[in-house]
Amino acid sequence: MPESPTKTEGQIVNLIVQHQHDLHHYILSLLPDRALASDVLQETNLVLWNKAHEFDPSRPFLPWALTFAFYQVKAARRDSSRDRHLFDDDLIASLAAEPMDCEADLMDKALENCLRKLPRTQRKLILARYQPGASVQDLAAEFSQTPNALSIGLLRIRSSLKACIEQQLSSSQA
Amino acid sequence: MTPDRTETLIHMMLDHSLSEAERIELNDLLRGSQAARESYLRAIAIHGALIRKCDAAPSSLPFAAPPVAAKPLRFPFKKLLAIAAGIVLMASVFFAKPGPRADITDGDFTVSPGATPLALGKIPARTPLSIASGSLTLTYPSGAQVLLEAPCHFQLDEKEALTLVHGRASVYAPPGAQGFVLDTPSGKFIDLGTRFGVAVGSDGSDAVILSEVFEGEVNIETPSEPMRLLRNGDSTAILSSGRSSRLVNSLDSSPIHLSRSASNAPADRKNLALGKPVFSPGYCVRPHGSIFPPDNLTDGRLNDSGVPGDWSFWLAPDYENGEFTVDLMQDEIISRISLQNTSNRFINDRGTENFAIEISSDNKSFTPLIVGTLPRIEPDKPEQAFPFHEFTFPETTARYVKFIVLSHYRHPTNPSHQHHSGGLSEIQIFR
Repeated sequence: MPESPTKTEGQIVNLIVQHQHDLHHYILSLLPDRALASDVLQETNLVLWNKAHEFDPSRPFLPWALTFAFYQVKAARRDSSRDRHLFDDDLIASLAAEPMDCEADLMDKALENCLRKLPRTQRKLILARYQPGASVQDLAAEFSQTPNALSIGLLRIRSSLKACIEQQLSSSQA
Repeated sequence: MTPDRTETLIHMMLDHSLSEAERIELNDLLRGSQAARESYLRAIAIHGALIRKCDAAPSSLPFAAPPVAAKPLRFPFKKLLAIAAGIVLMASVFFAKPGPRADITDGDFTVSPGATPLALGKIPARTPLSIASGSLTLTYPSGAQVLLEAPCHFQLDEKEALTLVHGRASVYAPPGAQGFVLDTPSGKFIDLGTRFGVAVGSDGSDAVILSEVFEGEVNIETPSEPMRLLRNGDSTAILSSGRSSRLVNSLDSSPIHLSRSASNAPADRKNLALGKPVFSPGYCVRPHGSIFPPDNLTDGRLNDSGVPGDWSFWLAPDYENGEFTVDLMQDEIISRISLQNTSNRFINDRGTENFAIEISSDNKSFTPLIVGTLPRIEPDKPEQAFPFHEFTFPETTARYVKFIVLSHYRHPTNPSHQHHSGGLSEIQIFR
């Protein structure tokens, strides 16, 4: 007869699902490599699932989960050359201790609003840049630009998005 | 609005164009200023939101290089996925249009989480499809057959053709099925009545496509080179850079070989090592997606299979014996370890000869368990599965199992062959 999940396991699944974007945000801030961060998120999910019995439901979930995410990040940095140790160990520890400046879901909503405000060509370019596997080199050919010119264009779009998102978030918090 | 230096360096980091001096500069800026760290965290938050948005939506690009290592989601979302899958299946049944046809006629596989469900019978056309584990056989009205090996992303776009975005395929076109086309991100393979294999992978940014003709002939058509005919025994790689591509007959000074058989082990629930994390002080990284990290040792994929950027076996760094440690995640009672050696895809210049295994419960203090020898993989039988070698011992308790290569194989006939190291294809651990 198959085992049914315990109440704690059920709660943990809900909490893990609910906080996927926050966990992704945290891991990505320490490992900006997209594929590696995705792998570490999966590993973290698995660890959290396996540790369900250790979770105290009277305490907040996210700080507990981020502790395990941090250990998984450290393990990934130890074992992967993909990250190429972009950040030194002391800086990783310092970034890990920084508070999250906003919930990932709020950021996703602000991004949607700000993408809509971008000129169509800029929106197309930034979304093309974030398609899985896309590179500046490929996009430069696609958009008939030099890689350098395309990179400068992306920098400007990122700056515009940042300014717009900051405005959105501050007005939503006001 | 003028981006400041921190913002510029962060942008360069996100586009992978940071030099070592700039990396150090960015570290110093972030270390020295709270404002710089806040700016970085805001930029990363936007970066993450863009990734989530684009990961959730289907790609609008015409076959950009696929992600290097598409891994199945190891998380119990199965019930939710089953409901979502049911909705997608119903939609595909009710809104199906006449078009190209291929049927799954054989297979033991699982689809990737969130992907369109698949079962024996007709597959949906013009729909991105993927399998996360196992293999399946597609059969076309002409009799052409394609064996697909997970992890694999593919799509049925045209009659008597298949688009392979990522993964391995073996094609068989019997008499009457000549002209079957296998389309890939960097070129088309037009079958002239033959058996051939293709592996579509990536070096991290550009597609790397390997092919080998087992019988008969096949034409290769790429955007930037004249059509080339490959005959029985020929092999080639298509290397892409932007929109151009070139055909080469060897990779990293080694010949190109593809195994003919599907190479996924049936999931053995009793294998305590399956899917468990593996750590090693280093592993082999070479150009064109030749990267061999230690988690390949417990991924259930066997026989030196995989594709560029996502091979199924572990290799130590060049010229080193190497070692790795499997973390069983908790103390387990074990009494048997099963090992499958590697021959580095029949290049036959790497592999484990003598080894030692030690165990530990704290990853600090290790106790010797076994010393043994693995034979070299026979290089002349590419269609056969590699053998497993079993080592048994009295029941003992361990969480960490460390495998230390004491000596490794080198190229058998060419002592001056440039590369060599230890390596292993799979480790299985049982009670």
